[in-house]
Amino acid sequence: MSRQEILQRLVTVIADSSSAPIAAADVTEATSLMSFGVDSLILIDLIFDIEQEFGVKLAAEELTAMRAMGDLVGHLEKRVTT
Amino acid sequence: MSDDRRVAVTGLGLVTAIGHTVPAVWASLLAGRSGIRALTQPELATNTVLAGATIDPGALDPLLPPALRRADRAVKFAAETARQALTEARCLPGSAERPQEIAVIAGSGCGPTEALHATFGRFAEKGPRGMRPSSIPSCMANTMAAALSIEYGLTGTNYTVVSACTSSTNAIGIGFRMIRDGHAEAVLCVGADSSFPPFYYAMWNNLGVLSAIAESGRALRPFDTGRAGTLLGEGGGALVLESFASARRRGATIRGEVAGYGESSDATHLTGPSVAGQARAIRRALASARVSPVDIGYINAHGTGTEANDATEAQAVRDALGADCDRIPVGAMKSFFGHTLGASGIIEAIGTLLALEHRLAPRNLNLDQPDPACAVQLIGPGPCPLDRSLALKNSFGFGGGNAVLVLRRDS
Repeated sequence: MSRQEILQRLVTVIADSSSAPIAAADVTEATSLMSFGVDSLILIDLIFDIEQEFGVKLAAEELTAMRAMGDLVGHLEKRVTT
Repeated sequence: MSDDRRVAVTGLGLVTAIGHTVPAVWASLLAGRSGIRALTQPELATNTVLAGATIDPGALDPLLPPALRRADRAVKFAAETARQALTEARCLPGSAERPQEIAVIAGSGCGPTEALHATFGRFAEKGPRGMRPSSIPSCMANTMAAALSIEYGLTGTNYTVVSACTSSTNAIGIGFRMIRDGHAEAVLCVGADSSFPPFYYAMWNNLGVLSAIAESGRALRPFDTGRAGTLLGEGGGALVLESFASARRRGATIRGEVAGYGESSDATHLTGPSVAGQARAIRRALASARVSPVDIGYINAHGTGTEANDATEAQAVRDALGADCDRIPVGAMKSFFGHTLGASGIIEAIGTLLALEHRLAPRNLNLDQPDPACAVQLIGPGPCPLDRSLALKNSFGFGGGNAVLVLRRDS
């Protein structure tokens, strides 16, 4: 799965989890994860949804330690493709 | 009774289809403006009755704390009404005069229906994999009281009463007893219900109690000969209760008093009302307030506009109050608000307090031909002056629960 494909699928997941109107064209790997307004309740849904979407396990501490979408994309790229 | 045991109302809040603030609602009540409109939402289109009193929740979002902007619709109603009431009572976090500990007792007929609808949809689509971790905290029946406790730092007890159309009247009654008996310093009583998530509205539509009269503004007609059923509304109300002594110590403005509370169960039928059960609750409310029928100057009826409710309620009022029924003006507010279910008790109790404050009761909308089977003194086509400081607020619910408040506002 390419990094671009992972990014696109992540945008869809985050928009669904956070009920936020997010335009895919506005999100790049440089976009801050903080910019989506994720609070603690949304965070647990987001982790659940990412795990469902990509078939991987993701710890809350791993996600909260990431700053940009590119960090999450890279993390998933390693898990999904290996 | 000592000021330590008298229960003062020191804050009010309302969000309804006829206004999102207390003054706006009062202006609409006096002007005779109903909130009932045709329902045009596409997702409701296949129901047979398409009229109700709805609120645009988007209008509330700018007023809500950020943490609650994604909350269930009924929780949003509760949060905004709570904010209004706590603000008026000077009980928001950070207020120097705020009581040490405030409890929150919420009432709701079905709780977070919007969150339930979304969750059912995800389950139908994805099965167990669609059940996100937040489903439980979003859908639990007590989510409303819990959200308010956390958002406003209310560290007294918090729970939600679920008892159909008496829910928020029960919540006020519980709050009244907590203050009167010294179990709480202050209580935030809240009621909210959201009636139009598609699964929930369809259940009401198919129950056969909604009015099929085509002209939506004329379709809900409490106590009228031509009544044909109720119509749903949505919204919320909130009030802050504390003792008179506490209110005076804090310098809070006293908007009225909860003077008594009575409750009972019919123990006869899930949906059919009972004269005996309702009359028993009214008598208990009067006894609790230590007043007699002669002291009552206004009755705010449950008045759903169904054939069974209105005739039963009128007979129960007559049985409990006797000859004073020929004098006491009776009004019903559901033709303004729609039937807001578990929230109706507190919304209409606040309407009652406003009527006492202004010594003027709003008219009965759509009462063209009073039903002779409803032998009470129904308010006519104009507002009615009130000459006494005490009123009754009736609420009766599916499940056979009856709850009645005695409310007071001295001149």
